[in-house]
Amino acid sequence: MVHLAEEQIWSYITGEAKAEEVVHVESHIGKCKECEGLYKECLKAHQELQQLEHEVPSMRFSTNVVEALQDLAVLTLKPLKFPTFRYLLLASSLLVVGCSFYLFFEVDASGSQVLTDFVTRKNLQAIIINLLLVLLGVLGLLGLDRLLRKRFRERLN
Amino acid sequence: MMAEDHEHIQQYLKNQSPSAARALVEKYQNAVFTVCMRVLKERNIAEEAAQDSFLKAFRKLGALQVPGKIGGWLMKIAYTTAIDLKRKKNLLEHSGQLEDVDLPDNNNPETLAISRDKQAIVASVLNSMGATDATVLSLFYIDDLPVKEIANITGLSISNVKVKLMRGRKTIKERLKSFVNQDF
Repeated sequence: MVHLAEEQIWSYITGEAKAEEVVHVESHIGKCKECEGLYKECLKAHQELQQLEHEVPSMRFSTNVVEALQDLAVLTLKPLKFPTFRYLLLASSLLVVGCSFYLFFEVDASGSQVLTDFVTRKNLQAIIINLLLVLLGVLGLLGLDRLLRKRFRERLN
Repeated sequence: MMAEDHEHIQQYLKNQSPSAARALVEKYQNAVFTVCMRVLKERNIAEEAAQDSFLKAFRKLGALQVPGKIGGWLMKIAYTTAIDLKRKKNLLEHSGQLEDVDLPDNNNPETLAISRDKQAIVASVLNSMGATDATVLSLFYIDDLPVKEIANITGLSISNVKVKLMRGRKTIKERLKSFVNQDF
């Protein structure tokens, strides 16, 4: 007697076998103990495989993904439109203006000339220089932001 | 179900709605994580890969042409992400062949008595299989995907998927042989 091939038995179990093959397998299993044994082994494996379940990630998984998505959304926001040339021009103008003010007030700053009751030349110099430094700082941070976003997008792509 | 997915996708594309993103993640996280586990075998690394897969998927969500097929699309991304991560982290020691890891000795009645949990054996065999073989079995039996879809996800040919399925089934069958006579 020619025994069934294991592939035939699997096709029969998974329902992929054609009608005539089903008849052949069923009649053969009915009269061949060896093939019946193989069929039982295959069926057992099939049943166990069917009971497999998905692996489950940690409880915080979905929260982590949503938070990461929100971070990503912030990082991929387009930076403020600010052409590089104008940006550099503005920054250097501010620097020049700042230096000019500093030098202007340094020329005759010895006397702490009173301009109003509260504002002396020295105070005015400090206020203007500080303001310009803050503006330069802001421009510097904007520039850094542009650079980092560009790098980040390059890495993402 | 598909209409629900479509709605969430549209909501996310329109205003990057976190609730829509959460709904999609919660629906598909187990399937995606399972694919990553089959490839990477370690929970922490698989979770990292699953998270990366979702981030990639949400970035490319606009390119998804058939919203009803988001499940298969996500699993394809998960599979390629996990394989890439595996290559990067040099976790190739498990790949390729089935290894004899802590499986119960079927001939030893004592061992057999201790570990009768057939599902644990199946899980253990899956864990010791090569990444692709385990993924193919998992997609076929857990996600009920047809061979064609599995071929699409894994990048294998249909005949290759069938071969891997058969090999996996035979391996599981061999490991469960001793239980057959008790159950029938």
